[in-house]
Amino acid sequence: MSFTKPKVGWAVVLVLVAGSIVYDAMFHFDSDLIQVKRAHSSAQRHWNLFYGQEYVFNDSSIKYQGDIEAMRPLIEPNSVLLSDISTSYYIAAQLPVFLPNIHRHHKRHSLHKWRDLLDSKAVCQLDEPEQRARLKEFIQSNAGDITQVNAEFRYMLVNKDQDNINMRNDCLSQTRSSFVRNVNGVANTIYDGEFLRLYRIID
Amino acid sequence: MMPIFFNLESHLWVFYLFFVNGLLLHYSLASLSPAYRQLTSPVEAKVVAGLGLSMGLNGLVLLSLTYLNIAWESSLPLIVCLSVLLALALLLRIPGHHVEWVGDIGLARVALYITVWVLLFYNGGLIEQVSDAWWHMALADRMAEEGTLFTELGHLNGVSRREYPPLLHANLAMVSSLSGEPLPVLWNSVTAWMAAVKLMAYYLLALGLSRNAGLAIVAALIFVLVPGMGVSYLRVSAWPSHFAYVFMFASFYVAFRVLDRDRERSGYQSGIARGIMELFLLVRHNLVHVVSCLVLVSLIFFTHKLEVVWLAAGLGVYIVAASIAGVYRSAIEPHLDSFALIRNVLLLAIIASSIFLTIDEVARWRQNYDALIAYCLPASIALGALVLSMRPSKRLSRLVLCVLVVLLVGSIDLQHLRSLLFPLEALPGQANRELPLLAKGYFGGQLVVPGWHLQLRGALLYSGIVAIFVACALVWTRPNRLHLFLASNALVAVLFCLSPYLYQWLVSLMNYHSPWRILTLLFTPIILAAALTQAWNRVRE
Repeated sequence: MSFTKPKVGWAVVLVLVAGSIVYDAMFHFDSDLIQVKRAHSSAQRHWNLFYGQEYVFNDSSIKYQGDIEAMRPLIEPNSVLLSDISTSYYIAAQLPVFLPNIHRHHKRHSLHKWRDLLDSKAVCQLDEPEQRARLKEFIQSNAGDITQVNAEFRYMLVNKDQDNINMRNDCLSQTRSSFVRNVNGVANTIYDGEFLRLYRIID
Repeated sequence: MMPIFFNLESHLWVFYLFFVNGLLLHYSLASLSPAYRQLTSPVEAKVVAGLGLSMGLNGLVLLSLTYLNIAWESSLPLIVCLSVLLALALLLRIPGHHVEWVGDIGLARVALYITVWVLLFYNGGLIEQVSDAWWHMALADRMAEEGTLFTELGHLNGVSRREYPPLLHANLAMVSSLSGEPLPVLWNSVTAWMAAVKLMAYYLLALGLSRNAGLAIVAALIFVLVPGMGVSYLRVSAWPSHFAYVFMFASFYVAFRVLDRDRERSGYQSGIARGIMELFLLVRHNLVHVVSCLVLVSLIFFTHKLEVVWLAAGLGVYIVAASIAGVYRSAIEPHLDSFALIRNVLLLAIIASSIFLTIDEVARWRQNYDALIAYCLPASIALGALVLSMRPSKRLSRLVLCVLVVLLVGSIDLQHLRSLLFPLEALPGQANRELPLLAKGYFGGQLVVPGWHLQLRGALLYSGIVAIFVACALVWTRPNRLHLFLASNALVAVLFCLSPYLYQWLVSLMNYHSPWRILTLLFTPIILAAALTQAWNRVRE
């Protein structure tokens, strides 16, 4: 094989193109990137040689299946259930309830009274008497009912999972111990599983 | 402690309900139609056909149950039994000698697809973050709970309902209802299958374009490696848009297969009548392909819709480019006569849309002359392209070309271009980072451009930028179908992202939150594969 000028030119093209592919592909093999993205709550959309099912298992509702199936017969369909934002989505994917605590771009503001309550973070500050009173008044006035679909606010759910990274997304999950301490009088525990604790609002 | 094979059963259900019945139907069709058999001779085409037919069938069954008001829970197991019996009956009736059971497959491709499947089996679907996957799963769950394709209530909070094409959610609801498997587990499993199928569909796209299996497999490998636009996010493969990408890639493949086939010519000499007749003969001679394309487009429409726009745009850009290139150089497509009609219709449609926007948005451009320029610029370019297609004198051609280049290059926002490499120089954003950035036009009016942070920077730096230049070089040295399609679409896609005038027009026309996804038309893996194979062949000569 002799090297003429055109051949050299094409060899340069080959090296440049291959080089750009190799450079751009390196992140698939970067184990440090996984932790960097997790620390910044950045989505791991691409495959990574060092990523594994343990992240999916630990940071989603897959490990809550036992609790979710046990709760199913206890829940009246088309009720309203309050939980932290991540657990709300987990429950929405598996149980027939309506969830007010969802992302803004999923039209959380359509439920004005829930929006006001959740934005005030009253449910995250239940150690304070005025916030407990606010929650009690919210429940007693049926403000949590979604009248458009005849859905009553009946349940509250606490996610006890310490390992799920999504539990830091919402003050409701971060202050769950305060919630648990102060929810007596407005709700009773009807299920206490390995990860999930379900409360029913006292009528 | 994580059970090792917690999702094994769900994989079996996904394979059965998303592929088996469709594959059996595919083989039945293949035994009846030589044209269909030829179209689906690559094994990848069989798999994509199996997926599409399965999903379509499942959707039709659930639609029938919905309209007949029959409960899913009680009827689905019976339907599955009937479908198994029907499938066996079909299988026994297929004449083995008429059907290619596997067809054209190579070890490298098999190894690549299995590797990707195993990688995504291990990586899993993107559900460890509370992303929109949960919105989709919640919708599928609501469908399964209510036993209907059309949920009347907002499935999350009972109030906020959003129209969304239901085909994928219906299929997920069916799998969940029948298997009893939780939706998150199913979503996790679907990701592995769809990652491999998406790769197969991309191979088909590259094969249809290049007619070169070696180039296509290199393109598929590069698709797995480089970041690319959102299409290549393999952990996102269970999203409805990614199902739509599969059918979009397959539609391109079918379209190019049509161009490869010999066909009858009309007896008309010239004009619109000839164009219409050529089109009619094209459809008649390729009826199986046309029907296949229509089925694929329907699947796209009922899965995510948007990709129909990119399919039409990709083919439209190529038709215009090939038709004009054929006027000045040797014909890119030998049977291009009907393209002149399609080209003219497309260009006139662009002009019409500009007129429509100008009339509709009169209140805006009276305050903002740059908006008026934005609405008129595509029309001017279309008009220039029409003039060029009429083969005017050399002088006029050069003048029109110069004017077009000046218009396009002059419409680029240089600060926005620089900010691709230097993020701190980004144009001002809005309250929501998903909204476009704010650019200023020549007359100080406000226009919009897409933020590079929205998947675009990752797509362009650096293999994307390399691909754009490489595509231009390839088409300059050898203007064939492959190079012209890649280069024309690459340039259009990137110009719309760089020019506030073009992007404003697109935003105003589409009324969609992410028109920047037009960069999907930058087929980086295929461009780089074309460059690599050509360079390799030249070096070895």
